[in-house]
Amino acid sequence: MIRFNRFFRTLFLLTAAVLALAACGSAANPTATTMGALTISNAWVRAAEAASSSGMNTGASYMTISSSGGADRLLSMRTDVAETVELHSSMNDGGVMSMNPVEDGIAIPAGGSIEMKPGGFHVMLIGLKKDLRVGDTVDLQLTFEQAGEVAVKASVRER
Amino acid sequence: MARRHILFLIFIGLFALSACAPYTFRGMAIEPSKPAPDFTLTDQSGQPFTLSAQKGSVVLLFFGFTACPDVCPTTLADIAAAKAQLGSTGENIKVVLISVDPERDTPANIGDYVDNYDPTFIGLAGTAEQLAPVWKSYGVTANRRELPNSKLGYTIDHSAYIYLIDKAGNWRAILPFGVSADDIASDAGHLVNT
Repeated sequence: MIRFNRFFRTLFLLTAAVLALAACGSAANPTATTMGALTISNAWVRAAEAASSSGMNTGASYMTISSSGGADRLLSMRTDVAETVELHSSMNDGGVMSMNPVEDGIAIPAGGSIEMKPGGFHVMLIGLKKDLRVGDTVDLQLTFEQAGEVAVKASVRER
Repeated sequence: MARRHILFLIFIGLFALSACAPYTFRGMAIEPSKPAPDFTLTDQSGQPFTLSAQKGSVVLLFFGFTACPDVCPTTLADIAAAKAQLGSTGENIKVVLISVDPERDTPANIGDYVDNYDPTFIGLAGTAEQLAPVWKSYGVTANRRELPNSKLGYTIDHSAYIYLIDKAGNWRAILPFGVSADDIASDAGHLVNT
């Protein structure tokens, strides 16, 4: 009986260790980018193919931006993988989804954060120049009103 | 040991009871269910797709457009994850994207678009005259709106529900935008298994 218990305890510890390792590996973007008071974390781009047939070939990127200091404003973004990058916001009006360009940038509150996520604020990539495959990394250049230029690496994910 | 046996039996009993309880949809159930409005549109390979010819399969309908970067990819990626989660059960589910953008979408580009998520997904495009009656029959809003400050030029404000149709061709539930892949898998899996 004692031996039996020890076997299960070992198995449990091994399982826990494997799970812990797996959690490390699957963390979407373990590194966060910090510039002054700003921290940009969990930046990701949805996998998409630059389709050969005619079409808009769009993509989207999401991230969380927080400020430990004063307020700032994300004004624009650019990347080599798309011809045009726009900041957009989706809204749900009674089940009807609509989307609009963000006219004055995205405000980062002092000491607070904004989460860009599906169905809300997002970065719209228009005219993809290449396929975005799971596991790839996309370089993004963010321009803030206060912090200036910040380079961020975003990982490509399905969702 | 005896106590363990009793616990096991109680567990089995509860499990059996839960199987008897009527299923509650994670989405909004259509009560009473009604025959899903039929339609025929052209799929990405140029073949006609008729909804009523799909009986025997569960069908998930979604309305969207290929220039849609956020809402449509989010929903299609979550449906793809739900289908994969269901394993062999998922093979009995047909996922269909119907265009709300007749000006920009073609069978070819809507095919490329759905292929991003799952090669088995079906994309249906058509002219405004072909598509509008389908939107209307499912109560779908699809309004073109100009976006002068965007490279997109215009967008389509559109209903973003997933429409669940059972193997008998009855419209059983709708799932609102933002439901989890787990909820989609639960409701679609229930329809496959009943």
